Amino acid sequence: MRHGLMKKLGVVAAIAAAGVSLAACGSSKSSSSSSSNKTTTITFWNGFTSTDGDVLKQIVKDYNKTNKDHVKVKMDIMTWDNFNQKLPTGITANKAPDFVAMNYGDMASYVANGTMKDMGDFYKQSGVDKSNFETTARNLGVINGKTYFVPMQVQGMYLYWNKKLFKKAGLNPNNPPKTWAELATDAKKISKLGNNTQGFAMPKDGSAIMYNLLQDNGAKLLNGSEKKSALNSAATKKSFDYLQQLIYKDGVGPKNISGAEADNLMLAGSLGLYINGPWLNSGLKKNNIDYGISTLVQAKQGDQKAILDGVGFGIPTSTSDSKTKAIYSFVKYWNTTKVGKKWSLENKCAPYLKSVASNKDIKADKLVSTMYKQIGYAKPYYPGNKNMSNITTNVINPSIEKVLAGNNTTSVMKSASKQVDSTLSGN
Amino acid sequence: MEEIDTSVNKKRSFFRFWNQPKHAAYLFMAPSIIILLFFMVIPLIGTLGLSFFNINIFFTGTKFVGLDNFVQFFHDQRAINSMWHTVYFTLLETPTQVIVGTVAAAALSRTTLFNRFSRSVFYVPVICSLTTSGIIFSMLLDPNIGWIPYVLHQFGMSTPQFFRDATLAMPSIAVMTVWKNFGVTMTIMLTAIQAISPSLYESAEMDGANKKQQFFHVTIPQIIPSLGFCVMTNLIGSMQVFDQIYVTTAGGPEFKTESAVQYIYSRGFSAPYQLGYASAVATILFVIIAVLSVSSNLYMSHKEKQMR
Repeated sequence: MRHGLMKKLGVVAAIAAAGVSLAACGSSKSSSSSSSNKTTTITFWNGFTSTDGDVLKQIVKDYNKTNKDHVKVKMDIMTWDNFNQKLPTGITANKAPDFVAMNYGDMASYVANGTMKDMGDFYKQSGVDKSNFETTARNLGVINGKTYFVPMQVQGMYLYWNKKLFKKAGLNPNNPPKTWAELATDAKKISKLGNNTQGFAMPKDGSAIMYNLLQDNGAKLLNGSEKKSALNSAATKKSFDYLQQLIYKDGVGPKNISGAEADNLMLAGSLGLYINGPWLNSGLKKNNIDYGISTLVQAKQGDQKAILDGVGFGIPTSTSDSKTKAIYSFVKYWNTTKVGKKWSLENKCAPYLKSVASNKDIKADKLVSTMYKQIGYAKPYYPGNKNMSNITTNVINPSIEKVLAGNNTTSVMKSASKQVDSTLSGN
Repeated sequence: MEEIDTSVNKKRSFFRFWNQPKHAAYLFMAPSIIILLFFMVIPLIGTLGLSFFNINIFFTGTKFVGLDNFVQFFHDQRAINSMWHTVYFTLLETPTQVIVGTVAAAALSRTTLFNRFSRSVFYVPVICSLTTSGIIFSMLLDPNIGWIPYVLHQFGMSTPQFFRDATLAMPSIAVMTVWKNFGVTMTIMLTAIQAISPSLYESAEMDGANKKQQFFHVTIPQIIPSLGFCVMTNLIGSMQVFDQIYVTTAGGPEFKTESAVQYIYSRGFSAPYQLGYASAVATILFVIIAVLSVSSNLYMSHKEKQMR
């Protein structure tokens, strides 16, 4: 009774506060199901707002037209920021969509709060070949031994370089840096070109780059049991010092820049080196930038370390079983060779289905095959840890900002470590 | 027949009752009262209720914690800083906007074609959304692609980092907000200034008062009630600053522009989704705004009496 009252009060307060803070964020659409000619309509939220969204729309349109299961997918695309704001309140107010595509880093906290369905039976369906999925990709959606998410896309961070600026700086445009040290050397040369040209950009919200750098240098974020911070180490200090030297002291790139602003610099052709996910490809192609993409730089040449990330399909617990069946039909369609190939080639994304990876067109695509190479050795970063999203937003990103602003790296590291401990203890 | 008569009489007395001005007033007020009740009073009580609980946005693991969330606020440096940033923004924005709005209103009070055109131009930013204004200013002030840093650079000046500089970021947001909103203050003050009897200015002129003296000794005392209204509404608005910060700096650099509302939002609506704690901070902010509003209202009323 008391819980029911709290829930009602909470919903009212949450909706009111969201209304006050986010008046400009558009309206929340509730999930709906209509039944005409036995068609099941399923609502789908995701954050593919870029050109990848156009490809997704086309795939959904094709599915709606051709599927024989009488399923209609009604999709709502919003920015990931908006998605992460709307989904929790949507779930609480029973206005959640029937299924979502969600970033792996955000999933664990939803699962910990019991808001996502176990999708383990998806792989038991006829027509789904579990062995066709790369094991690492499949395991991204496994939390505490249960499958909560089925892969939609896998990705990592890759090195992008502007070939035109490489040539101008006297560097070989076909020989990108292989190590972090080489990256610093090349970035310095490019930044000397003047005319607002930047050598390398490290976004203040670039936790994905930071985690890769920490991992490459042998630093750990959490201890073995993941109950304590392991940030306080010489390897973390080395990583922080490297970034501070590069951006704050050597000034090879802008200080205090967001990821979106750094993307714009790369898209404008005034950034020499950048680390980002596959989604940057379409914009670079559209802007006719002469660029290259390679696997991520390493601490030492020959090392093979990278973080595997991605987006997965998930189903909120409020979705009925009959709709779950309809969702499986779409997810099954998504994980066919034809769709996987289209998604990989048109968005320049590494495949995670073995049948797609072995396709001759995929192999012939230089960008996709380079990215696929990295997927082979990339590993997820603290998968299933419900605190990762909080640590990234409230500890790591602010620490990056402080390091880039020239704060003492030892005190930044110690303070970050303390904050991680506090987050893990639930304070 | 008698039954029909009774029903007609009842209807008549019903309409007669609600036709009386003192009763009809409630009918006119009813829509506003209902809206206020559902969108202000009930959520306010809900927020206060939530602030005594350890509760997340998914309503799992709910626990009554009494005043713990309020105690936590006083140990949370980021929360306290966000309150200071909000006060800093208010101190920058409110007086600037009221002064700019009043001066513009005084300058444009005479009805000429140029003045009417200028009033319309100054009102244009008001109809733009804060989000749009934020994006425009972010682009204008961007050190790499912005037009203003480019012009400064052409004149041989160093290019300030504006939104990316810890010292300049908050003043930049305040300037943007003044630009966006001073049209409203100007319009209110203009109405007040135009309502002043010309005979007062004529008397002042006969007594040898110059324009400056007329402004301070005739115009200002006459517009004190409107001035008080503008100060109070701007104060409340500034203490709730969110949109422009969210769009331009997102609270950075290094949380130096993080406002109280933004902190409440980030605590409650992003990981770790601490709705109870966010509600406690919202309650504290509500109390601060209420105290400030009442104090400023009392001060302005006192000033008004003094001036008259």
